[in-house]
Amino acid sequence: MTVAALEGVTCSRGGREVLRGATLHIDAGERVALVGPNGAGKTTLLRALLGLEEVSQGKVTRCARGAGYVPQTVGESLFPWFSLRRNVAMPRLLAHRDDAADVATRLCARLLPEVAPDRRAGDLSGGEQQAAALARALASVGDIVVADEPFSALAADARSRAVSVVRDELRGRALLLVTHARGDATELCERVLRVDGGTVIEEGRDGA
Amino acid sequence: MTERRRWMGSVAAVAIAVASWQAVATIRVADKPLLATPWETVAALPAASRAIVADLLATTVRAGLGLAMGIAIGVTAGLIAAVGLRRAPALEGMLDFARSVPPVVVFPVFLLAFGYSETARVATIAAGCAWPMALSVTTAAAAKRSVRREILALSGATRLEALLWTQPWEALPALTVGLHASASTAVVVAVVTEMIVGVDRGIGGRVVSAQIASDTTMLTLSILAIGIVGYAVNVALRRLAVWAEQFA
Repeated sequence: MTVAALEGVTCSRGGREVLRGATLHIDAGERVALVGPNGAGKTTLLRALLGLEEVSQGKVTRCARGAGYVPQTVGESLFPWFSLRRNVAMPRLLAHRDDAADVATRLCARLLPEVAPDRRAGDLSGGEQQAAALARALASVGDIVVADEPFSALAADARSRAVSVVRDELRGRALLLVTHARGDATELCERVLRVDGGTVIEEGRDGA
Repeated sequence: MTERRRWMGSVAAVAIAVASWQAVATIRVADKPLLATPWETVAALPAASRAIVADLLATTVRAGLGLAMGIAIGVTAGLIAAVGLRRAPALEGMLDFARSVPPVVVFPVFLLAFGYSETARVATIAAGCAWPMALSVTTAAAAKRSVRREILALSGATRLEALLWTQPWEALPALTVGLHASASTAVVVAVVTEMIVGVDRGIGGRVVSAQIASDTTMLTLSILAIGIVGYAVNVALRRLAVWAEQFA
């Protein structure tokens, strides 16, 4: 079953075509990585799948409601006036899940073991904010987690911890990961796709 | 620059200001001084302080009442404008026009409506405060779609839930700017309305009385007192703006 798909999607910004007939299918539980140079269209592709970009051509099967999302600008995505725990619990609170606090506490302990969950999100460092955004995406209730360079601001130890937590906490959900680090792509994902010039090129399927 | 040099620089700045004040106080127009000297002012302070404090208090209460009313009217008008802005973009220009009308020129309108009364003064202050507040509310409400809103939408938040999770905090910086402009306007308009039509109590009225009686000492003390109130309002609101910036 496909959880999100693009069929021949074209997307322009400022008169420039960022995506040119891009096609991508993500099946339930599948883990897909997008790699490619800066400006290749990776982020636009991911945002188009989430329904956050207007497309001029092609068909988009959007991720269903409840998708977890780690944007590139994690600092702007957190709610600095709330605690770390409340930020992480947000998707489950909005879905009226009784386990919101428990799941948030568990994810905070796993991804940010040195940070008190009651600390205000606005006081977190850049790396901590990124880990918090990742925790929030993993706390989501949808069938896919979409993450745009979710490890880029993390120190080496926090990065390996985060990779391991993502693997554990996906719990059968699909993953679409944008990364510059091939190691993260191959470690976490079974399909690695290269995005270049606004199109998607299949690179490898290692069945990991 | 060392701490000592900065301290000495501050002392020098104060000394230059006092010397300039002394120089202005020696100017005579038709053999009359314009201001009291710094020493005369300090010497008169103990005797005049009670009356000045009472007048300042009356002005502050008047300005505060007008400001509170202006905020209530401004927030309501701003919210209505924010809702209607998409359908009628001219609303923003209309608000900007209303803000550009100097508040004291509508004082005669309120005098006609309410007579020579406290109500006319407070209404004029409220009218002056309402428009900057209304504009800041429309600015806050029209803030472009943020990443937080995208996350909330993806998480299935309703419009009301998205509003409650973001708007009260995201709007704070713009609202603080509006509050700053409104509070400064309230002090100025309160003093000017007191000067135009005499009042029993109020620092504006005291300034005019001192000028009529050629009481330069009281005139100087009153000007200084108004300056202190304006300065205190600015400092407090600047701190509020710094605090609100964390939500920008």
